[in-house]
Amino acid sequence: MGVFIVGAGMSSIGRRDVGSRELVVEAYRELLDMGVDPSVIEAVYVGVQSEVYEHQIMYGTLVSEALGLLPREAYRVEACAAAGALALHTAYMAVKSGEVSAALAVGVEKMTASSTEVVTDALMAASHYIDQRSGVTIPAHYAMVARRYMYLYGASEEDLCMVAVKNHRHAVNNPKAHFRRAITVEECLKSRPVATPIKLYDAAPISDGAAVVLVASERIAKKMPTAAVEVLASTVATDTLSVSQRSDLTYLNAVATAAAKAYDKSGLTPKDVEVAEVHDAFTINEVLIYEALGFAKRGEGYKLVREGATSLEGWKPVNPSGGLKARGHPIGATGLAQVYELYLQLAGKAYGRNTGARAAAAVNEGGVNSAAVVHLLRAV
Amino acid sequence: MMQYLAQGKLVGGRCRRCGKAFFPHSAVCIYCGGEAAAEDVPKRGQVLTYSEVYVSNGRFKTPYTVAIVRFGDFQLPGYVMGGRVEIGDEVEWEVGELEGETWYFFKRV
Repeated sequence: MGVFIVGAGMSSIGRRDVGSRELVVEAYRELLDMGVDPSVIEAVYVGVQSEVYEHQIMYGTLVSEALGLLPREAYRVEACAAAGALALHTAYMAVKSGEVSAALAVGVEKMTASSTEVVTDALMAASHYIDQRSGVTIPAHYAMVARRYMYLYGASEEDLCMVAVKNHRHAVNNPKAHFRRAITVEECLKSRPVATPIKLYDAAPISDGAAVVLVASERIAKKMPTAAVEVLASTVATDTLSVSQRSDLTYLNAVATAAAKAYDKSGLTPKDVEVAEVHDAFTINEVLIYEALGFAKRGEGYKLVREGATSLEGWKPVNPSGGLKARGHPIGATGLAQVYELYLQLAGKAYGRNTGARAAAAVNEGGVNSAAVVHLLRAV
Repeated sequence: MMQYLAQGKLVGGRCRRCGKAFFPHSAVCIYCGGEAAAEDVPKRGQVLTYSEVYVSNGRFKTPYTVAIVRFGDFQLPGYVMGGRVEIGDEVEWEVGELEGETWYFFKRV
């Protein structure tokens, strides 16, 4: 039984002076503007990272109320920055099972009212207590992975900065991106250290934002006035909570496992994926995802960026939206912001940055690659 | 883990089924679900990777260094007392005060 995405919406991402409720409404209104009839929605699944930022839990009810969807089934799912894609996975499972005909996946995070220290601490909750109590921040984890990768495979800080340069350039064409400004490798190399070798420009920003994706059965999809995109696979995998417990610190086992399951279920191969939105929370991670998805061999992912292969004009465009780095990274919303972009890409409506792709992959991750959610999508 | 720290020890687990070592100790192997036995973490190890942290959660005074170190078959994350290390450097772990709490940290040999 096929499962389809029949519409999506996203708020503008950035430093916003409104809360989660307003951000979700903004994203939802774009979905309604596409011509979707909201009466088909039977359930609402909401991805949110932390209750710290707004001193709020019960986001399922909050969103259901904010969108006028009470008394429908609604609840929150969480896997740190993978929460958004996990909400989509939950919606997919609900529709696939036949229990509901249409479900709304929602992702949201309101972060910028909190200090950098508060955000750093809230994100550290995604790691093991041995990491937390030793002062290993999330950027420090990615930094240690990056340093080990550079040591083993000869990549340089400049190679990693090239990921940021590419994604910033892409975001110039995205009217809803947090940063619509091109940067240079030199600016990135000179930016201040967060956790060496990671610098400010290697890191995704702290952002506010929301995104929604409507998932429906084939029967409902046929009645919708909107473009339909088929969800060929929706898979989840996990890896150790502490990076330290991995035999290879530079291998994304959760992404590779979820991707292998997704390729198997869909019949697609890495070659068939024509565009991807991936979890570049830090530049090193985009490179490692190329390898875990099978776009490049182990230790060679950074060469794809050097060659321009993953630029908008390249043979394997990655992060046409600007990625987490430049579109922005409102934690709980990110997984759905990725799928929002891919929905536009597959419908040919990513104006100014259309790739013409017919098949797409989304990779959303939580913790330091401790949970991975992969979606494979195809234009109908 | 805290009862071992109180004895000045770091104790990991070794699986009776798959043979892998992990940290901290648990009765269930984190890799295969097999039964695991407690095993002391060797005192001396080698730095696999490290980072100097400039942005913290406010509880740790910046800048400071953290590392992942291999002690025999065990790998541990930790705070590096006294700063700079390089990949391959030899360090030892110690139990002591870290930011006001009993914890462990690494020191260059």
